Amino acid sequence: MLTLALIALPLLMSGAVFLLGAKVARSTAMATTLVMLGLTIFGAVQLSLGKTELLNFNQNWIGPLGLHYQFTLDGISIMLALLSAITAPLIVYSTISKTFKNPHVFYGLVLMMLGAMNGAFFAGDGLMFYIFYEVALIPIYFLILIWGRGEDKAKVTLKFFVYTILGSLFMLISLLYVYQHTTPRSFSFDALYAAGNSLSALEQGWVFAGIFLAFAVKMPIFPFHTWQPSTYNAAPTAGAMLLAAIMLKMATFGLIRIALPMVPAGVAEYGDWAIVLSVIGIVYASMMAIVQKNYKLLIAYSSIAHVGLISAGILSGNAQGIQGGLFEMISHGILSVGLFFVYDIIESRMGHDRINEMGGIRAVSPTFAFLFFAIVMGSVALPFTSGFVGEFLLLLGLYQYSGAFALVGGLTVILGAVYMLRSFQAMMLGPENTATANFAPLTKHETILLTIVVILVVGLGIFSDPILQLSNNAIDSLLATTR
Amino acid sequence: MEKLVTLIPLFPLVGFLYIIFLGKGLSKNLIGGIGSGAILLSFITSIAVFSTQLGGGNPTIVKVFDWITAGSFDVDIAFIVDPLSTIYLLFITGVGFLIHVYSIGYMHDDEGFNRFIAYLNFFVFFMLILVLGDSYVTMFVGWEGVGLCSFMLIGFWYKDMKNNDAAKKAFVINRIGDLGLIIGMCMIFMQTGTLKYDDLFISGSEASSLNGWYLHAAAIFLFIGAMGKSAQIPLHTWLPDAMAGPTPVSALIHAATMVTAGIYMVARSSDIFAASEIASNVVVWAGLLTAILGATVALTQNDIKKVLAYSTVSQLGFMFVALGLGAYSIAVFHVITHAFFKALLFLGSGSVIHGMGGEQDIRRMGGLKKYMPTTHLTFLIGTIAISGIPPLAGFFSKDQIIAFAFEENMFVFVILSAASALTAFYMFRLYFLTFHGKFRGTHDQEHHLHESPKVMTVPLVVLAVLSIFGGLIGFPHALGHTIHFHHWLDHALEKTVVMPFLDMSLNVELVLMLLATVIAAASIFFAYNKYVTKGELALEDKDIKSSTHKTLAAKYYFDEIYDALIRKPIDAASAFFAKVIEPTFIDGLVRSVSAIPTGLGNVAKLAQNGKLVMYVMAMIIGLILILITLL
Repeated sequence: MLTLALIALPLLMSGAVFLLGAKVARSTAMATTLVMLGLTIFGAVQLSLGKTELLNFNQNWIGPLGLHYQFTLDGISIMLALLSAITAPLIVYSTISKTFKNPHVFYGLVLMMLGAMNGAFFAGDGLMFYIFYEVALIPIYFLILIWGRGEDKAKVTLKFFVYTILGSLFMLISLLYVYQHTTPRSFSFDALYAAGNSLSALEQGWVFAGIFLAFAVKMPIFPFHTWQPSTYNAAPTAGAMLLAAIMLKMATFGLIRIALPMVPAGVAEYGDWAIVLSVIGIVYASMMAIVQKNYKLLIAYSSIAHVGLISAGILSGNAQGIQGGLFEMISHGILSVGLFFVYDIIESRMGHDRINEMGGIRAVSPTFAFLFFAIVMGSVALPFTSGFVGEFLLLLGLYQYSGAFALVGGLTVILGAVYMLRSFQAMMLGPENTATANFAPLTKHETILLTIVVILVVGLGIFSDPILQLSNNAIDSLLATTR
Repeated sequence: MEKLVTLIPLFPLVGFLYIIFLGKGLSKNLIGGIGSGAILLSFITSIAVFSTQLGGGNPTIVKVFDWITAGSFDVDIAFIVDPLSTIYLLFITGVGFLIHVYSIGYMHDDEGFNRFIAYLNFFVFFMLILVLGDSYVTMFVGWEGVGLCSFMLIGFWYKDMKNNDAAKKAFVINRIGDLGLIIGMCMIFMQTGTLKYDDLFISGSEASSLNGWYLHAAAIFLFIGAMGKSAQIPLHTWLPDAMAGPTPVSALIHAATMVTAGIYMVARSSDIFAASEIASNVVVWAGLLTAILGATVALTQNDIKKVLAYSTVSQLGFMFVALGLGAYSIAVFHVITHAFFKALLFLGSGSVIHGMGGEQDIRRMGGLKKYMPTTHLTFLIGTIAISGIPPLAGFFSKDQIIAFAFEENMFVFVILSAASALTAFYMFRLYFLTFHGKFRGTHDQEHHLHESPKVMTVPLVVLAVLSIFGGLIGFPHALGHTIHFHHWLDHALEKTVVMPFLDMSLNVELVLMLLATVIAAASIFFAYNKYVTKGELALEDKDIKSSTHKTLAAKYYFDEIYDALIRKPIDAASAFFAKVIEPTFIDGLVRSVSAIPTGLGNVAKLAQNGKLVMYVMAMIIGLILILITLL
């Protein structure tokens, strides 16, 4: 029931926000996301106590086809539930000082997206996953198209939309292929896992290729990433946060939920290729980040580098890689919200985000510099930040798969420091100058939001074990089935 | 008693948080008191914890909480109390306390005073985590944490982009080492299934399951980490630039404590290094190269802090030679004596810079001994100590390293002796040019010259006393079997690190000592003759003619070479990716794929041209084809 509530509540409230109108839109959205946060924490407590009756939901949908409304909150999906529950209120809060035209439509779409993404995270059924995965695309498409910026936003949005839809098509084909081998016909993951495992290694390889292609576009993985920087750039800040913090995690989550257990032989056979692309992407995107002149694009490329490591770690298929992947998803989500918010603060004051045309902001706004720096440290995975726990486990996992890959992927440790520190210093440090002399200090809301982000980043970095414990058992049993 | 260890890093952490968040509006003296008080409390607690280890070692793990669990991987926030960690505790908090007190005077007029004291506290917190962590990963928290503090303190005066560049360089080069360390940890975990010292070396001996090339590779990757942190060639270039930070930072972080973390880590892993002859050889040669190159560059530098920085690089090289030769406890011994006299020298140089109103060029100094008597005397003691004149601290530790080299490898012995002679020379060159002769600065500077306040000179005196007597903790066999301190350090460490075995007759040891003393004395005499008797001065940059001198003054062009071979190619490749590969090839591919439907559409469009005849024709052809296939 809880899982159903976490999907239905935002969807229903999204309808309510459309109807209730502009005035109460933001507060309703805020309240909804906070209730979802409460429900998710309640779910996490239930899960750690071993009480699962509220966490699973199963209803027949189309019996003869083996379709079910099946939703589960287990040790793996809880991590994604936490990610979306923690970041959603922050994302809504980040818009508190903004004025949108038609705010009820804006916040309605945000809630709709949250509901759809939760649907994908909780799905216990392949087709359900696919449907929610696609549905989530519709609200973000309109969010960017209506509230985005730039003259070419229509073109950019269309590219994003078509690219991801096309990618997902390969996942659908893969799922249908495996579905054909279930007896009796069923889309439930358990049935798909059994059927997938019975396929030959070659078939599993093709199925994996289809699934990975879909996810590679979504995450995105090199060389399927070109839609992403322009889309982030065109999107309103809250939209970019939704995309980077939560939406792309449907793909990395899908690797764990679908690819690893359903076609393990396929992953074993052809995972190399996927990991190679992921690892190339880490280095390539880091180098692209180094030369970016706009901070938002730098964040976009840094995100590609980070998900490359997540993907490579997960596909290594060991406990450290998967655990690191899950933890890094949460960490990357929170940090993405933080970084995009930093961008927003700068862009709203300066009117641009050109890194080399600032400098001296620290002298004017030390509080902002302090909080921003803490987020930068999280991004470069300094120990005692959430970034470290994820990144270290991912590298440890990847190393066990291949030392050479870990060494190349590990270059993110160095390159990440280069682009993050270079941009921070160029924007924030140096002498006071006329460009930034009037940089307004942080407002109360901005301070609160950045402080929450920093507390989460540091808190999760130090007290990471309670979160990791939520998924330890689930990962063990997942690995047991793939061997 | 061991449980108290948790408090040791806690005091500076609380100090840091208090000053950062609640320190606004408090007086500078109060802030200084809080900052140094926190370290003093840690120091007192460290003595108590250290006392539990006096009987030769009783390693204890004090667990605070679970940190990371993933499958079979498991690390805690937990502290290891054993002779190695507690000896480090003592000198980190002891020297740290003195430098905090000194900073109250040195930074008194800086607008960032609170921030400075807070960062120093934060640094000590991480340094303590580094030596107390009970696993490689917990150590890594401190390892990267001190890197962060080093970054913040090098770039402390952040309005000058030069300082920021130096800070970034330090962080990035350290990160290169850190990646090595991470890979080393991965290797150890993969072969042994654990990264906890207790399982690897103490209760268990999992480290012994490292074997074959894996053993050598793991040790070398760990050493790459140590090279970054301890500024060994080729990862040494950040340390001289790090002198951009305020001088107490150079004393605490970039001389006494943080840069010796690499030595700590290798000593902690002595079981692994002792098992790998290949890795140990790498350590020896890297250390030897660093020792001699650092010493030669120090000959030609004219910035008082740069001389000391290259001296530090060189001395760290000595320590690594000792580690590579298997003399782990002797390396630690040199770490401790070096902490005393190098902190003293840096703080002394700070006092000079303070008195000179910010001037750092020794060509603009001279004759300072009459203006700054305490600074002069203590600086002289530090200079004698580092030069290896008995019975000061540096003599004993350095002599033992050289004696070891004599036993193991004649070539290493000769080079080390040469480096040692150069050390005595460049240090006395620095001393004579600074404190003797005529004052060469401006009239304003001369007018301004003054001895530093008590809050700065008292720490100098304490460190001078330690530089005189600190060598006693490792008093050698040859000189006194009856002295209580003799080889105390060796005994303390014998359960923690692999012990050196030096089979040397008393006479040989005595002769070596005599030789080392004579070499040092000769170097000093040479320096005296050149800079005092003949009154020579250091050349102005434009007067440097010899190409050797130019090369040394330019620090062997390491920066220029790295710039040309690494930084520029990466920047160029990145720019090429951004300008050509990304838009033309990758996105170009996407666009051509997206052109396929349009293209197919255009082809299909040909068929739908609205001409009825065409449709009929097509239908007939189709029917014929069907008929043919059916028949």
